[in-house]
Parts: sequence; structure tokens; C-alpha cells
Amino acid sequence: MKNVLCFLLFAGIHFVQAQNNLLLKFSPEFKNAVLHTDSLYISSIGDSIRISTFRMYISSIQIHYKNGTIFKEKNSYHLLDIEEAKSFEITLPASKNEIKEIIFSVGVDSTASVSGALGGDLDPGKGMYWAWQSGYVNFKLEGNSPVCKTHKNEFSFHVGGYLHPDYSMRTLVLPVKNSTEIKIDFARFFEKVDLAKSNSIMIPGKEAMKIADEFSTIFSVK
Amino acid sequence: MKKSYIVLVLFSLCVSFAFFSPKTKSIKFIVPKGWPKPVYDFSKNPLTEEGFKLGSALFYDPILSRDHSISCAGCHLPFTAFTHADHSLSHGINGKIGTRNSSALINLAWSKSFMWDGGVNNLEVQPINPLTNPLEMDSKLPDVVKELNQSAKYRRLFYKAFNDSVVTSQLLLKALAQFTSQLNSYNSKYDSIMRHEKNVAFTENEKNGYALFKKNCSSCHSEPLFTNHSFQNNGLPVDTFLKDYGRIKITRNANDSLKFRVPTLRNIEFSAPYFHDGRVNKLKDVLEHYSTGIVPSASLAAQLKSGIALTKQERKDLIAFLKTLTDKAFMYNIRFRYNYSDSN
Repeated sequence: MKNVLCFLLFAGIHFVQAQNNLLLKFSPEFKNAVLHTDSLYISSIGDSIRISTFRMYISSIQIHYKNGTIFKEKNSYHLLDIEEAKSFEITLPASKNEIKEIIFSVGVDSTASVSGALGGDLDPGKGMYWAWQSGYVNFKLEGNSPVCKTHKNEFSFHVGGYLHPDYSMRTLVLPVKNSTEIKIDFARFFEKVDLAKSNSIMIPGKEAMKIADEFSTIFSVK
Repeated sequence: MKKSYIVLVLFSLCVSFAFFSPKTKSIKFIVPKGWPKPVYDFSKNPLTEEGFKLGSALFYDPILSRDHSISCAGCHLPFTAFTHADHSLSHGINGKIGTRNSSALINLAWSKSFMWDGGVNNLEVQPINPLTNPLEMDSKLPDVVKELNQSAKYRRLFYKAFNDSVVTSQLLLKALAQFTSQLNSYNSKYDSIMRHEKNVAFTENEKNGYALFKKNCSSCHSEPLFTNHSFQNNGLPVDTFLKDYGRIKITRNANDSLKFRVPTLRNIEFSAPYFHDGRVNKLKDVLEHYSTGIVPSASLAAQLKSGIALTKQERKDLIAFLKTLTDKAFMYNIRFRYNYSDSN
């Protein structure tokens, strides 16, 4: 009897917790297929594309509710890595109110970029930090395509930079209807980026700013 | 009854843990009178004796390099003002040679940026460069962190310093900053004179040299830090092998071509070789460059457009003054030495 009570209590706690969570899920896709590393995709302009690495920072998450209240996540920095499916799911406290829009940034803000050695997802050992020119790589997208006349046909976008005029973090405002699942449609990215011409970005600058702009347009709420 | 007993035990455990958590001895950072406020934010890394000792142990330990062959001190020795004497370019593992002269580590807490091109924006993240540069220590942060976590000595030292025996790259970098932020030099003869201490005065030559310094050098090598932390093109011809154009690599601004950090002149007597690629070994050759060797170019510092004409005697006087910036109390400070971390 005691055990049953314990179980009920435990389950009850779980239930309450589940009720109090809002799951913000990012879903990398290519057109309508789930994006997998090393699978072959054909872009709408006919390029065949394989993606080997995709990592990005999502930061400063805000949930705006229809009643005017706002939730801002504290210390809001998340490193999403395609190798770790769980990293694409961000748990936030739920509210009974209806969500109007979700606001977040792709990348790391200038404050964190100048704050010395940080921990957690901002640990400079995570492979998303530039040593020679301090600052975070906001996102890394690597893969290959025969249109890239490069070594092993590789493309490599390491997009970062926190100083004006090359501040490459992008803040997105996405209106919400029913779901809090955010689709990242890489088909749209490769539709716009001419891989034959633009296939390697390793430093902040104009090129990185352009890629950051294109990249920020491929997010939408499902 | 039983319940309250458990609560009591738990409570006393908590209390005893509170007593057992390591006590640290805090260190007050000294800002010499008349100096600006330091740039480094100590509030996020409060200085402690335990943190300093840990930083010191790490600074002198080759465990930080990939093959455990070199330490930070390999290129930054205390007796040469924390730089590498006799080597124009910094050395790495397997005898590899870097592309720039290792900097003297002096009064770093006052610096807004680091490296010859200013690419690094915070003292704490500077060590990532030598640690991971394939021409220097060639490590990877996660590998170093793993090794430190496997060391009982470091787990103990990190616990003492940060109340956490789990080493992370953040704590490793904060520990190094505990040490490097305290490598401060403000006890040279020049400083004693500026503080009007008894029984110390410039010689005639030093006095003339100081006047010449104020007239010709101090717009960039400003007192009291002897640098204004700017980046300047001082008219050095480009090394055709290294092809190093300095700060333009960071800012991608053509105006920054050939510009390098203005280094401090403190302890310059012992921090040879000089300039960003260590091309010159003697102070008299440095002055020869400023006097007769300036190569004009678009980004040349305006003050150097016609060079700094100096007679033979003036050069001697200027060097005599520069030597008053030598701070033996700094270079021979027992706290900065190898094995200080083993002391009690």
C-alpha cells in the first residue's frame, strides 16, 4: 500500500512537472524530410548536397503571450548540435496563456563574447570559439557538394563576429499558432546560396553577414 | 521520532559540509597611486592565494602542451620580464617556430586587448591561443581538461581554489588569469622617483633621457603603463618571409595595415629581442630604427613621419632612462617563481 502511495506521489510530481514545461523544439529538415548527416539531398537549383556538421547557438529566448506577458529565459545560451538530438529540445516553463510569438537569436551576443572564459554551452572548448580573434562561431555548417570546386568538394560556413559592422547574430520573431516546433529548412538555404561561388567562410566580415542573413530566413514555426 | 532523527542527521551533515568547504585567502589587487583602474573584471574572478597558486602551477606545467614538453613559462620566463630572451620568434613543441615574438607579461590587468594584433578581447581567453596553436603547445582544450581531471594534484588544487574538483576549461582559464593578472611591475627606479622616495634620484643622463622620452616617445608609450594600448605602424619594413601585416588581419581595415600593439617599455632592458617579430636585439638598434630606419607608408604613425632624430649622446641618455624602468622586485619576486605553488 505504502509503495503504491509512493508511486502515485512520484507520478503526480512527474505529471505536474510535465504540465509546467513548454518544449521548444528545433527540427532541421530538407524540404519536408528530416535532415540527417551524410544523407544526399538535391537542392531546388539541382545541386546535390551532403551535410556533415551542423552546430549553432540559440540564445536570448523570449516567449511573448497574447495577454501581453513576456517570459525571458535567464542565461539563455544553447548549443544545438546535430550529433545530439536532445540538444534540439529546449525546455521552458509553461504558462496557461496563449503564445503570440517566440523571439530568439541565432548566435551569441556581444556581451557574452567579451566576458572572458564562460562555462556550460559557452565553454570555449566546445569547438565554437575563435581563439585568434576572440568570439563565438554563431553557427557551423559543413558538408560537400560536387559544385564546390574545393578540396573534397567541401563547403564550410563558420559564421561569427560580434563587432559592428560585422555583428552576425540574428534575432528572429516567429508568430505562433498551435505548435512550438521550429522548422529549419535547409532546402531554402541552399536555394539561395550559390555554393559554386560561396563555399568557405571562416572569418567575420561582409560574406559572413550575408550568409547570416540567408540563414535567418529558413526558420519557421510548424 | 525516526523522521526527526533523520532530519537531525541531515542537518548536521549540511552544517559540517559548510565547515569543510575550503576556505580561501583573498588577495587585494593593488592599483598604484595615480594609475588608471584596471580593465580586467576581478568581480568575476576574485583573487585568492589558492587561485594564484593554482595558476602558477599551471603556468609552469608542461601538462598543458600536447606532448608535455613545454609550459607557458617556456616562452615567458620571470627573469626576462616574462618573455623569451634570445629568441626572436616564439617556440612550440617539436622545435616548431611561431610567427611572432612572445610578449612580456607585465601589468596585463590594464590591457584592453591582447596579442600583437589585439585579436583577443579578454585576459582569460588569451591562453587559448598558445594552448591550441599548432606552432606552440598544439593542445585541444577538452584534452587538457581531461588530463587535469585525471590528476589528483590538480583536482585537489582546483577544489582548494574554486571549491570544485571538476576541472573545466572555464576554471582552467580563470586560474591562469589569477596568476597572469598579478604579474605587475611598479617598483622600478622610475617609480621610486615618481613616488618621491628618499635617497633616489635620476642621474644627469637619465634625467636628459626622461626629457627626450617625454618629447619623442610618450605619445604612444604613455606613463605610467608606458603604453597607450593603441596599435601603430612604427615604420618597420615588412619581413618578406613572415609577411605579417598585423592588425589588418583582425579588423580587415586597410588603415590598420602594418599596425601592431604598442608594447610597454617597463623592464625593456631585459625583454629583448624587440618588435613584433623580435628582429632587433639591442636597445641601440631600436633607437637606430626610429632615428634613421622609418619606412614611409600610408598607415605610418603621424609622429614618425620624419623619424626621431637623436644624437649619439641623446641615444645614450634615452637608454639610461629606459633602464630606470627595470623592476628587479618584479623579476625576482619569489611569488612568481617556479614551485611557488608548492609553498605553504
